[in-house]
Amino acid sequence: MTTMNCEEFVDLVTAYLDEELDAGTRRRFTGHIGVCGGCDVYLRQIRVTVAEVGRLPARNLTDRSRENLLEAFRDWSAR
Amino acid sequence: MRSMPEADSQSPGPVLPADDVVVEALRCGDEDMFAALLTAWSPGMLQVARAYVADEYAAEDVVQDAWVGVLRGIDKFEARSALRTWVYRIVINRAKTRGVNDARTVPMTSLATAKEDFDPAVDPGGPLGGSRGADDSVALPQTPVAWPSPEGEILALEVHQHIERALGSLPARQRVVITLRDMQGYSSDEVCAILEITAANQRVLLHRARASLRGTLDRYLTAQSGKEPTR
Ligand SMILES: [Zn+2]
Repeated sequence: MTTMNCEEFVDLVTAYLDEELDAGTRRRFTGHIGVCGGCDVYLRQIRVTVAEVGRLPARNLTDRSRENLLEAFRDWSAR
Repeated sequence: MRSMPEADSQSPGPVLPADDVVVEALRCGDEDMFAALLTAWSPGMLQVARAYVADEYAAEDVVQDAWVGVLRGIDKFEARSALRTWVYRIVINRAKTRGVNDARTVPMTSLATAKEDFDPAVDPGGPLGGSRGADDSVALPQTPVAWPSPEGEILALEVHQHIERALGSLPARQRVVITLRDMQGYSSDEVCAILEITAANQRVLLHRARASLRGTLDRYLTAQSGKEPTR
């Protein structure tokens, strides 16, 4: 099994998280985690980043916009 | 049970009926169905619009305008894509137009958002950063140092503020991709369909966006850990 270097590891992180690596590349990827503390940390940090982005508060339309749109819908459906 | 192959069954949020049912309901004037769509999709549409326009107000206008466009077009919707994909394409088109017009009248508004996706990542970071210009790579950071836990409440709020600001400096398409994937939880297939890009291209955009945000968090959290451990 050829080893993976850090550069290749970083390039493949997103594909790894999307489970799009073929079995062999995946084994080399996870094998690298075992021997490289820096890349292990990097992967964890990417996961934390993804999770934090997912926790950002989202807002919806204002009540006023929503009312406008529901009114527009009534006008439109009476066409 | 979805009628559209592109539809994403993993997405969070209220469960809507299959596209053909939704479309038929709208055509028949079912206001509750329209209200349900507004609730389910507007938050993501606002975030996506914000990638192209200057502020929240402009994004709100764009999304309203897009929903009116949806009503005007729904009779002609032919289900060649998933309904949600079609709706997002409408919002992106309108947001781009609005963004261009705003940039013309307010010169400094959003040079960053007018830039396209393959700009160097905001965080080139690391010794290898300068030597690598390939589109599909993100600079390897200097040996990453573990972060302090960002779970504390005060820290969490600040983390959100830093992420919001970093999102604001991403090129538009990177921001759209990370918004749809990591905030809205849409599948890569759906994001490809919405932006009409290849899977490889989508992955590059997501990769760069995440790497930039990781860099932002790294600078912030590493600085935090250098301070006195008072909390
Ligand atoms: Zn490594």
